[in-house]
Amino acid sequence: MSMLVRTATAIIGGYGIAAMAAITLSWCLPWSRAENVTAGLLAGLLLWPAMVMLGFALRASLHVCIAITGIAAVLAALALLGGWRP
Amino acid sequence: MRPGFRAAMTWLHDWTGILTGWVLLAIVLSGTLSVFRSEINVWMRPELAGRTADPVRATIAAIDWLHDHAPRSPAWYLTAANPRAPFTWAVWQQPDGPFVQHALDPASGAPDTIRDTLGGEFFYRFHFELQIPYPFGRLVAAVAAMALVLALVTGIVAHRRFFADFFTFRPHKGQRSWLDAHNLLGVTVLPFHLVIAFSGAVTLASLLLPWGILSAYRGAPAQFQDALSPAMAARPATGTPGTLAPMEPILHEAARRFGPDGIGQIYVYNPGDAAATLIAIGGNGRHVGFDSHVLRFDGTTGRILADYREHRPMISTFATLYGLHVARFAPPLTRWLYFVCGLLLAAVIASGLRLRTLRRRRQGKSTEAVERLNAGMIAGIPVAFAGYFLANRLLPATLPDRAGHEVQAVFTLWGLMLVLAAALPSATGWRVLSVLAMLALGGVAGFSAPWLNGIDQGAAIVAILLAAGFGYAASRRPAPGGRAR
Repeated sequence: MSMLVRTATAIIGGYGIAAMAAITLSWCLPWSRAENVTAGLLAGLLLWPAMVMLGFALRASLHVCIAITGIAAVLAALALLGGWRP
Repeated sequence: MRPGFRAAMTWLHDWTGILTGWVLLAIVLSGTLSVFRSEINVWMRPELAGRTADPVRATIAAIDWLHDHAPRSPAWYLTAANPRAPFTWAVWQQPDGPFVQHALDPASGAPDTIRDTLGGEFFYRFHFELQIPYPFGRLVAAVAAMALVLALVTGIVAHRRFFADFFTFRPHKGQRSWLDAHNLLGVTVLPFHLVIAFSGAVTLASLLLPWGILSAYRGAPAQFQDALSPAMAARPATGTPGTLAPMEPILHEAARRFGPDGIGQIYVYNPGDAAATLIAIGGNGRHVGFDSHVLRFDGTTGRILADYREHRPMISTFATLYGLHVARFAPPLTRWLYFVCGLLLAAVIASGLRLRTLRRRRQGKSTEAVERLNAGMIAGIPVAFAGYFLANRLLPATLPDRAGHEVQAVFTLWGLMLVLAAALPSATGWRVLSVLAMLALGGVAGFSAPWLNGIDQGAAIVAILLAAGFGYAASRRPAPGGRAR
């Protein structure tokens, strides 16, 4: 059961962070819109597997939830500062 | 590294591999064949043997033919003839809706001198669409590519003696030998595996992670495509009929501006409209990046509307990663390296799947069902893919929807192999399917006769080597207790 929760958190939470990073870079980078979006795409692709690994590297499931939520919150805050309105 | 971390990564590696191994195997094998997409295109059209084509002349012939036979199609998409492919590949829409794709004769521009086949395009499309409707097939492929990245990185962590295993292979030791093989194949070509997996995800990135595009372009993602390739943006049709300008000066101007890159593709939008647009895309075989020099012409006057080359650093980075995957730049030797590395990746995946069942069997768990499916996939896919080549030669040239039947042959055979593998005990199933794969591949080598040109010789050599591999596999007798010796 705990493995199931962890797997779901790692995969779905990891995808959420990748998506959020794509949005954040699209709004916060200094280049043209198309370039910012492209940079966001590449960063998201790198982050997803990395976040899945993080989800399995931390010892307690609670820590995974905190880490994923924390990273997503920081990214969302940066995106909001960059002008993103969800 | 604390042991808990390695154990967690090993667990992740195993499960990622098991859940995506079969679909990855199909993707990797079709991708490996796509390396020689052009060569397969020619192999599957023996009536083109010995012909050469001038790209400009062939394109003019193709446009003339389409002008007479498909004037109402909203667009004609042409891939120009080149030294690797002496024909024009055309895609157009029929008045009643469906798209047609066919090779057009370089001299007459007509499709009827060349047999109806998808050739290497089948493997290329299957590689990232898996014959599943858009966008689901591509999403499956994109997730599989990400899973492969994850499996590779966690595999590095799980692997204890990374460098020592470069030199380690202990044959005839059952599970130990399979693990050695899995490690050896995985480690030696690891940089290729990592690059091909990540760059594969890059080719489908905008589908997998559309959120940046949707938010920055406020729900109008088409604008992102236009911004990526500014010269490609087509004009909307006006509804007023128009006449296409003479093609010869346009194409000569395009060929002159592209220089040694040559003409890659020609797209004609709204050919019968006053706002007809012709997009000429330069070849991208002379640099790693996938980006091309693009020209946009006014289709009715022949005037140049745009001339664009990519220079933006971030877009070029993306194009370079994309280009590393599709390998348009690759000269023959590099192409063979891609091909061999692709086969090795398939072997890594297959040995990983095999390893899993061996380990579980040693733990006393039942693995028979998985092992049967393993046989149906690992030996079944090669049978089905070889069957595609055989169908190309066996189906009558005038059969209606011939190309569709060739594709059907692949999936019918694949289904039959899975049924056969499911019905037989796994040890027998492995042997029967390996023999079938050997025979099918032998057939491909035979149909490559008379082996006069490089393509036929290459196809025959690859088919014979793979057939020998399956023959060897079929000749091995599993040790008592079901463990391979």
